[in-house]
Amino acid sequence: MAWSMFWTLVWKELRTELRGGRLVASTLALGVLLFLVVGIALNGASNLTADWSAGLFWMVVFFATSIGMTRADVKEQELGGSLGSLLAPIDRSLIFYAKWFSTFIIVLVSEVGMLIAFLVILNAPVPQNPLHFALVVMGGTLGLTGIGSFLAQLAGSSSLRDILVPLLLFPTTIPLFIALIRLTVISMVPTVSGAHIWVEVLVGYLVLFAVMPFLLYETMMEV
Amino acid sequence: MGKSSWFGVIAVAVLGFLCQYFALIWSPPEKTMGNLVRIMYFHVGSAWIAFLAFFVTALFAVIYLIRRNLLFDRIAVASAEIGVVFTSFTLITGSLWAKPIWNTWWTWDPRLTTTLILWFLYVGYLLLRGTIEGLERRARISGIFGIVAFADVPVIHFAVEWWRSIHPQVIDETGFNMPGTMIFTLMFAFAVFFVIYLLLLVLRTRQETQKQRMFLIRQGLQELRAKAFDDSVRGES
Repeated sequence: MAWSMFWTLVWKELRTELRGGRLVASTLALGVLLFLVVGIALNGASNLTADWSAGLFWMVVFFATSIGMTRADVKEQELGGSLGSLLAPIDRSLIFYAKWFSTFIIVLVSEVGMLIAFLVILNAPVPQNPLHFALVVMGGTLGLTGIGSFLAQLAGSSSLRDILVPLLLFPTTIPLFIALIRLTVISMVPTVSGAHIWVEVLVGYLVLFAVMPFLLYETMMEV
Repeated sequence: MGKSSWFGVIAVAVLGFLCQYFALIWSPPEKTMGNLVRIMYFHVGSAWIAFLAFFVTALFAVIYLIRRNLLFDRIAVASAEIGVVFTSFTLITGSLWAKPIWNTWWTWDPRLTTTLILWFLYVGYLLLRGTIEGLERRARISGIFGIVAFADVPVIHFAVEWWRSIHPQVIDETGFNMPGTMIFTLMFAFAVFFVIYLLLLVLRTRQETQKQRMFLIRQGLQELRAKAFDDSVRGES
């Protein structure tokens, strides 16, 4: 029952996105634009080190995603879909996990586009360990969309919602941000050591923000 | 302010003067830093109070979410506001101390970085709180963020610490790394900051209670006006 409801909710979110493509289009467009602006700011950025490349990649991904997520559920709010989900006879945290998973898929799609822009526009070094890099991107996106979805819901009733989501998201995700940059550098230059510490930070962060919504989401969604 | 508050203010003033005497005159200069070490009593004391204030915010947020009594929410927000003030003070004194010691106003030290992130987290908390309508919804939402932010602090600290560290260790597993007179002055400064924190907490919570009471009176008055207007319209028809 719970699993079928979970997949129904995920499919509902994905279908809404497929009809308009709001989150993919806005996140991707903003991400590519940011790479362009960063390239101009760095005078062409033809010879960036792995440290700089990894940092810039995740900064753009975090920024574009946080801005995109502030308005991700506007359509749902307009049509009353969110209220309908709340009326479903299920644990409300399931709604959050479905939203998290669907946002993860959507952001991952836009990240593919951002990655191409990153490699082409910034002339960034291609990761020497692509599988490792793919796992880092997936883990990072999972963490980012988890906390991002939670904070977007949390700030949903605020009149400063658009500015508050990035303002709350950035300080909260600093451990994730540092871990992802270090792991991305390691995937670009495999001779750099210390991956296990950052994998621990990433996993610890994912566990923390997977458990906390389970405890707090029901309270948060009280009408 | 009532009599007890005035007593508190006078006690803080006396303790504050004593603290200045211990920190600026009585305690000895440090071997390498000389008199510059004196800023430590204010910097470390305010940092400890800031962390305590954020702990109190998270604690009272949890209690509010369990008991649903708005008094606990008022204590939580009062503590967060005082915590932000003490964090700002910590950052400013830290920067002033860093310039002559490390030859820079800012450095990517874990404690410094964690403190600045903490400042942003709780400024975000106050902004979130200030932009939500409805007393109970505001208390609930800001309470949840207060808990999330506090739970995130150890993760932030360890992540930044593994990233880099150059901060002097005032306390480590062997205890305090300083002479007895300096330990006494540091603990005295902490106690004074703690008394200031308690006094501010009581005053700010009381002010917040009055603010909420005013809000409820105004709301009641608007309802009475609307009812009187309805009655007069019905009477005319």
